[in-house]
Amino acid sequence: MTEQELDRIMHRVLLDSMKAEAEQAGEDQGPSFEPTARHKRQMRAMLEDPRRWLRRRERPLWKRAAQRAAVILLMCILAFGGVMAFSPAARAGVIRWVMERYGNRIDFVYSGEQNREALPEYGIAELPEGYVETQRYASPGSALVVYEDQSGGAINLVYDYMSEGAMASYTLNEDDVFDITVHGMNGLFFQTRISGNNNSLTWIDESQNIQFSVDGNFDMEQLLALAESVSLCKTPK
Amino acid sequence: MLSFFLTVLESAADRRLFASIYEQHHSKMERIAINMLKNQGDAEDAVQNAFMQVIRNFEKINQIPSEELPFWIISIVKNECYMILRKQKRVVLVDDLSLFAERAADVPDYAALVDLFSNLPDTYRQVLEMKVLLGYTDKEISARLGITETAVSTRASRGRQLLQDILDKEGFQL
Repeated sequence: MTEQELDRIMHRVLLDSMKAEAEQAGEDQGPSFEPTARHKRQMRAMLEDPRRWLRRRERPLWKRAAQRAAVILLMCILAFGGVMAFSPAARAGVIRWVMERYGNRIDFVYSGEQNREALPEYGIAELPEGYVETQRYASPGSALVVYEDQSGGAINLVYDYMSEGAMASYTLNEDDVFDITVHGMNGLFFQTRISGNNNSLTWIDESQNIQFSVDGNFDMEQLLALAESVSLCKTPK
Repeated sequence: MLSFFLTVLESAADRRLFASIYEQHHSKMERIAINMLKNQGDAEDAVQNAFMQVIRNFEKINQIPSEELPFWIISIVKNECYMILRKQKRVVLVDDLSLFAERAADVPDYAALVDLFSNLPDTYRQVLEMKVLLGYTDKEISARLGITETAVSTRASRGRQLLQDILDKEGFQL
């Protein structure tokens, strides 16, 4: 019997054993799956734009192990607290996001109207030596810009328009989380403890309804410098 | 990975196909996840992680015969469940095929062979499913199961050898 024949039989045997197992599972009376609101939101976001959902969940941050619970709530909204406490209309107009914490995950859940125009083009103005922009991807609600150097280093700039149906999720594992500000805008810095993984930094520009994040193999000071140099390259026509 | 993002699930047709896969399979995936993990939060994580794998491997979907797709997807969600159990140290991967040597000696036909493989230690099943059904590399399997690439290779070889020995037996009916 050739290797290919053996593999073909193995393929068939494994499929049939799974079929038998699946039939058995259908008969088992175990606990029922009652989806939480968070799961439903995730599924809605996934069906709306699978690529964007995957990209959001697949940042290096997702992949890190174990948990660190030092999460500080971003307080941007509080700056508007006085107005919002008295005016429901103002509250609806101002709040475009809430941050929710579930176990080792942080979700930034957006609200508000969809962006009807193209997103402005942002870029990192002060790149480390050797880095150049290599890829730029944009949809009406989201953009990704990649910078790379010759040695394989990469910096990712991601920004999303905050609107209903979209969200950003972070799974915290062995990350230390620090609150930071970028030009006075509040944000979080996620510092991995795993060698070789990227650190990340995210902040929200409420005046533009945009959440930004930058990740790369840099320390907090360097990432902050990159974040602070993010500026408009081109406005939509 | 980045170039992948730029090419898959771009068309409306792809998105419709993805939505249809979700509609057809999410209930089954959820049931398997909750049965294996017994915890709603973990089951949701497993289902979401499984859909991440479906999106990543979306280009393969069209190459998978439609009758095999449900099992391909079940295999993915099961593997995600095992990943979660392993991280929580709720499962210990047993590397012992000795019990099967005895059973393997008495496999008269294909149904018994399927039954034998249904009861393989999880560590072998997972390696074989990832390698043979999902097409993962040894490196990917090693990362997902937290074992060395050598261990992956050894388990795959032993699984194949087990099958080969059974098939070589006189009188076996395929």
